[in-house]
Amino acid sequence: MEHDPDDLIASQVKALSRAVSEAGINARDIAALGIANQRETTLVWERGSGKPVYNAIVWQCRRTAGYIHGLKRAGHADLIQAKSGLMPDAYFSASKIRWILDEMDLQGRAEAGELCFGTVDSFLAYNLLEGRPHVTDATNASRTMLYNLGRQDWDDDLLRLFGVPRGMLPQVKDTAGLFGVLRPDILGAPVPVAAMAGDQQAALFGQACFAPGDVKNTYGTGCFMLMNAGENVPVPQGGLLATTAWRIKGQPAFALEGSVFTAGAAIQWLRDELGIIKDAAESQALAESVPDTQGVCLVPAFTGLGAPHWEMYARGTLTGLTRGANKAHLARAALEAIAYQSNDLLQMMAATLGRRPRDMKVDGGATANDFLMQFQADIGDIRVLRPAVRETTALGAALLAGLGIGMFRNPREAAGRWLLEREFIPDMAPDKRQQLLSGWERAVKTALYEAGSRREAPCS
Amino acid sequence: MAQYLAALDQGTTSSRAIVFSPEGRPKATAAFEFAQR
Repeated sequence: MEHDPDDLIASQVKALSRAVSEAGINARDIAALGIANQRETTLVWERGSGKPVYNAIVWQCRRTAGYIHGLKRAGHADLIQAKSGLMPDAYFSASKIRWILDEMDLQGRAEAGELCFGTVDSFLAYNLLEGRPHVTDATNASRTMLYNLGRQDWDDDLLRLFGVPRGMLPQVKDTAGLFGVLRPDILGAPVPVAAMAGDQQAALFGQACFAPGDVKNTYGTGCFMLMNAGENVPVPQGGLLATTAWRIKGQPAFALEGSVFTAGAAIQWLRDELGIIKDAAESQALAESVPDTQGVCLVPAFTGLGAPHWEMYARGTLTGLTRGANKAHLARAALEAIAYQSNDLLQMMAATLGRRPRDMKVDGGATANDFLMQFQADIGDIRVLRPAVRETTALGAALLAGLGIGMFRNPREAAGRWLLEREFIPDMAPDKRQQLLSGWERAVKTALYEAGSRREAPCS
Repeated sequence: MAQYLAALDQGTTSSRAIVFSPEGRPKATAAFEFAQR
């Protein structure tokens, strides 16, 4: 999976110009601009001309899975995890850089300092900022698998492992702080660019998760959950990742991160493959038309199971079917599965940090589903807070930029911009919760058992 | 007078930009999709 680099720049410039003109303001009315971006996606360009040597390789792209498998077999997993906080995977930038240098036969030019690597933030900065700075921020650097979390610097051992010369890497700056000014030809004024952050970290900030244990969950095709882990690098367990949450005035904060592979995709499955709902919104009414799933449990492991199970061979599993099971029970089971999987992540993060969060902030498309949000609160015995501004990624980038130019003295001052839209309060008897969680655990065990036999005799 | 904050949100399927009021409310949003190959 690739993007045309020119498309990234052109669409972003158009979006910015349109937003400013629709706001009816002058570019000089913008105190600062923040950039949030898809993470890990990898670009390499010529230092002299700025011309990319290859398309952007998108984070989802699995083309380097074999290379990563080789690194793991050679016993490098512990080194990578200890230094970068990440599990070796094709997802992160390092193996994608390696692929571009090999495929385009560019190792020599990279060694000679003629090439620049950057994630999307870095490529945007290089192309949109006055003076073409080659910069990134600590959150984006943390997703490359080349960055030492504890030392907050590129790591020589990891650079050697992937054969990436230090000279092609961007300078790593604080997440909030002056990166430069926009080229005046873009908006007609040199607007200060005062924050850059990976999208999930920007959302964590936009959700005002400033204290250790504060957690946000984004419900998209999958879920991305990040929990603030404080000022020391956390030791992740069970397939969680450690990452930089942000770095402000030289002081890093860290986060635990985990993902659910199939969340909103389970609702799309009800709609597109089973045809039992016409649109995603209908799933709520259908689920609420029955008081429970009648014991039906769906483990939507369509592409395997993520943390805390990490079983790539798992597949979707439906348990507890009786003669009376109907489409409403199935729809309800699909929505509940999103909450169960998120809850498994949440409990693992809480155990890792030794903190039980008071509440969980939520964003993303599926948070419009009140049934899902209430079930999430019930099953986790946790208050679920849905904010008024659902664009938490952009809000986070904007607030970080405000911090970067000193509009706010500290994150807490910016937090006044976070407003609650609705709070979902847990309302389920403990024995009922325990009964449901046991049912989910049995269904997951069934999926894992079946994955074990699939691993020995793969049939798909 | 400079008082607004703006953000770019460069995602996997679209490039977005949002202008926020000084109170942190979205004042204008624009998005353009691009191809993935």
